[in-house]
Amino acid sequence: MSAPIQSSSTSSDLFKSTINEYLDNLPEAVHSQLYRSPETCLAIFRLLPSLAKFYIMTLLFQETAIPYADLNRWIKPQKATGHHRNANKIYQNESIKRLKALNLLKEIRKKVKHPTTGKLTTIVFVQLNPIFRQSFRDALTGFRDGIPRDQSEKIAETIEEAEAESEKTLETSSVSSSSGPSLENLFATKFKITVGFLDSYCLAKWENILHFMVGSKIKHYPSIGVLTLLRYSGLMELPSDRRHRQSVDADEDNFVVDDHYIDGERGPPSGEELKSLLITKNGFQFLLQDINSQIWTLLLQYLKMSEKLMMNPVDVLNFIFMLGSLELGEGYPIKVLSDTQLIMLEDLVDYGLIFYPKSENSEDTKGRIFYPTRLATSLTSESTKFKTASTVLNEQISNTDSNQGKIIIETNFKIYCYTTSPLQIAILNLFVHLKIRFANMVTGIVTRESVRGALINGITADQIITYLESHAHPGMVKKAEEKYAKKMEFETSIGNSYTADQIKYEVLPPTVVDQIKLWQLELDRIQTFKGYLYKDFANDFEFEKLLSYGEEIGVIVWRDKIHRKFFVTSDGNAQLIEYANRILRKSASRSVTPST
Amino acid sequence: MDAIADRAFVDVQSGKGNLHRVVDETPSLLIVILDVSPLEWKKLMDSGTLDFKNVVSALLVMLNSHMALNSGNKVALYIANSYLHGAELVYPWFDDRDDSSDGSEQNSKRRRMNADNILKASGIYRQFRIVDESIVDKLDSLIKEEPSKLKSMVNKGNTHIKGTLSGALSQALSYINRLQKSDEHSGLKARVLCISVSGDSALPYVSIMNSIFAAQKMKISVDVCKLGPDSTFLQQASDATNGVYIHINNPDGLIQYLSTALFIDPLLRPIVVLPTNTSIDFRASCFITNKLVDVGYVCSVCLCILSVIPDDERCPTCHSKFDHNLITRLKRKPKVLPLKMGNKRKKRVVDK
Amino acid sequence: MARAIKGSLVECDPSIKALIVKIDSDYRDIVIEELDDTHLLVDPSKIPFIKRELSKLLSENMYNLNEDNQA
Repeated sequence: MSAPIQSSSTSSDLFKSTINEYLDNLPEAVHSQLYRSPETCLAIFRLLPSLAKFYIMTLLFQETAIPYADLNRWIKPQKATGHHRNANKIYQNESIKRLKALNLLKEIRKKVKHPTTGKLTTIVFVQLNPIFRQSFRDALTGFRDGIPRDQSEKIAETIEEAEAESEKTLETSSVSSSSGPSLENLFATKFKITVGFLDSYCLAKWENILHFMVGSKIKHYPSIGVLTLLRYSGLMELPSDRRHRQSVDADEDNFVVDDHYIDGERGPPSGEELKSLLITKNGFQFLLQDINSQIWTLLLQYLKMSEKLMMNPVDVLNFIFMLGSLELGEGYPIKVLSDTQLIMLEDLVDYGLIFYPKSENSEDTKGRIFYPTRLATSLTSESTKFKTASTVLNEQISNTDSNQGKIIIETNFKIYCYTTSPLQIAILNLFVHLKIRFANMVTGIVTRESVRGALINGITADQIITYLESHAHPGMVKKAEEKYAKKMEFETSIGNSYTADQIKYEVLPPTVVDQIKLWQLELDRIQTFKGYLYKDFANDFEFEKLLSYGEEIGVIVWRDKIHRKFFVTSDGNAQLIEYANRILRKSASRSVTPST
Repeated sequence: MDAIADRAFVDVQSGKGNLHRVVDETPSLLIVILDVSPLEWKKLMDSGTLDFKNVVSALLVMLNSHMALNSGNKVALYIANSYLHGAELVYPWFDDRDDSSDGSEQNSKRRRMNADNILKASGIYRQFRIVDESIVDKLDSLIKEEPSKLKSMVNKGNTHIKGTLSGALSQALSYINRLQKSDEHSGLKARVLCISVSGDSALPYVSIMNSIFAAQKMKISVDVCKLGPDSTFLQQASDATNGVYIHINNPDGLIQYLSTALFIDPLLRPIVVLPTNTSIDFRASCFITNKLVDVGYVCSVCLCILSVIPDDERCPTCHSKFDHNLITRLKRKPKVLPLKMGNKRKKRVVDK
Repeated sequence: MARAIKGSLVECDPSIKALIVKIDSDYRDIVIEELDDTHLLVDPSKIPFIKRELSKLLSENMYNLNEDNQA
């Protein structure tokens, strides 16, 4: 019926997992501070898995705590098909784990008398974080009775006020245009800030940064703030950093974060020095992501940097999340911002997230207005199908009608790309052996060396494939859809629903995809898992019991039923041991003593 | 390089992962059909169990929650059984007048003024506010105009109109279809929620069944939140479309129902147990009397269901002439001998 | 009495497994236990070393692959 949902969202997943990781690791105190702001609650809520969202909704208007077991009742038990693990169960566990990590879900243990037997048993109840619950309710209902208003509300109010004011001035100016020109007036008459203007503005800013990263010749270098952040985040490095790094350890590929400058041990590199920045491995990976995740990557680094600079992370996060809830094309007065947020404002202007017109009469700072750009307003939107920053900007780059893809790849590994953008050519050059450049297109070939080069730079095969997929020419997409529909029709017509489910929607020629993956495997032939090997079980009962529990919670990596051994991931080990002790105590037999 | 742990030809695992990713990513559309039949509401409100205002505010919170799930999520609201409009789209509101920028400016100004009057809201997310305001606005004007319309209808002597719930349902399905066909929203998942207060007598059987089959074919779930008398057809609607049917006796906790049992995203349906009742009334309604039929007649030409045989001995729907002899035989009072089943023109159906 | 041993599970194809066993025989104290044709339990701290040795061995063996870049 409709085209299958393509998973062009790998990169947005990446961003999700990184921001989630950051949020998870915040201490509980910061969490509760964060949850005071309804906007932040909303943004965090949107980052959760669907099931977690559902759980929150069920608990949101529940005044009392509900038994933990009730959460399980919502989940359909799945027929165990062969040795497949119960996907629903795993998904549920993941969702609950996320909720707990964010301190959204609280467990309460209560002693409850069994209604019939009268025995006292401990039942685990769950409840939403009360602060979150209150704020999120407020966000949804718009009411907040009896609770002292906090900053975010003031923001909304003052925005309203300021808009009303500006409207008033608009009205008066239209009546008597001779009245003194206020700032709003100037903007209203001289150049109205349109959505189109904001789009091209943020695009210019952002492209400029990317161009700088790929090393194209540019007229205006990004500001020192941007350059510092690029260096700090390990996306780029100074020639001296590179020498230093190579001399110390050529092998380690973690983030090269040089915070000597932040700590004040070394003087900050001068602007001139920063202009000679070189791109790193992580920088290459960064270029292949879509624009939303690129921004998030930078913002997260910004967060980390701001912590070092003693900025309040709550303020910073709230501001970022607030930006996501602002409306494109509307102006907002700066007086609602805290001091920290004012500093941030200047930085965000550099990234193109905010348009902040400079005014001549600088003493009138209170009435100044900033405009969030599309980059900012789509920060918390993760739907890849709709008009997000990346699609809009891609449209702008290509300057053609809505089709954004321009890459054709053939089964013989030849690649054609209709583009004039030096940025895109530079990106392609990362993993394609480019041969000829025409006025409006480039051709090249994907070779083992070119892909190997990219892989060694830290770009993964998946990244390459997703990049090619998301930039595929509409013709390729159409062909793939037709092929998919045909296969689907055939399989369903002969009633083969199992194969019908297995049909994949392939935009790229499968030969190319497989070959790129094979090249990657060639580099990395082994897969490793940290954890524990369980062996020497006394009897089958013990073994089966532990194994089936481990499989249910999804922590078993490898098993050998004949020799009674299995391997557990290190995350799952504690859970398994706890379980083992429980059942062994129950059956009053010998207990498992892990020798770690 | 642990990240490079993906095997080229083993896709079973990644397929599983995809499922969940899809669950998390795709935006969905929620269409609510609100039954505003004034007479039914009057009954309910008189009985003191239900308040229109409370229901609407619970509904608004639900719409907000739906939009909160994902920034791509959309909502739409239809009203049904209104004496003024019949079935009508309330939100999103397509107004031809405000094409010009001037109009929209006025509109936004009006919105802002309404903001103070209606919601008294502060700190509410802007997107929510726009939706809520326009809905409250529209319902407000509806309530103002409805009584006069109703009065004029009563004066003319017809208080019973055929309900327009099916009209709203088919409009909603068309709306979904249009969105799903458009380039911008392809792949959008959708579901429909009916908040119904009227009984079955107000439902035109044929059109509602047709809408149900259309929904079934489009794989769109129809959830039903039933206040007031139970409805057989809506039970069938939710059953046929894998939806949830909940008959709410205690509407005080309406928001809890709306935010849990009736809040299951289409994408979560494969995973979550649907809280719906299993005993469904499958009876059909008579085409002439509009009453539920336990045992009745079926026209062999058009399959129309009858509880009585019309005097002119013609099918009311397709006007086929019934066999007179057969009818007299069917109308005969039962004797000791069991009735021979009519197999030429008519037959008895046992539907349950 | 069941036992749990801490380590890293290595999953690879049999040819690679053979190479790792060979590395182990050269340097010792790498492989804790051979589980089956495709799995090994190794010392977690030796993983980077194994990888480095492997790529060294493999690049020696796969040198001539460079030519067929059109697959």
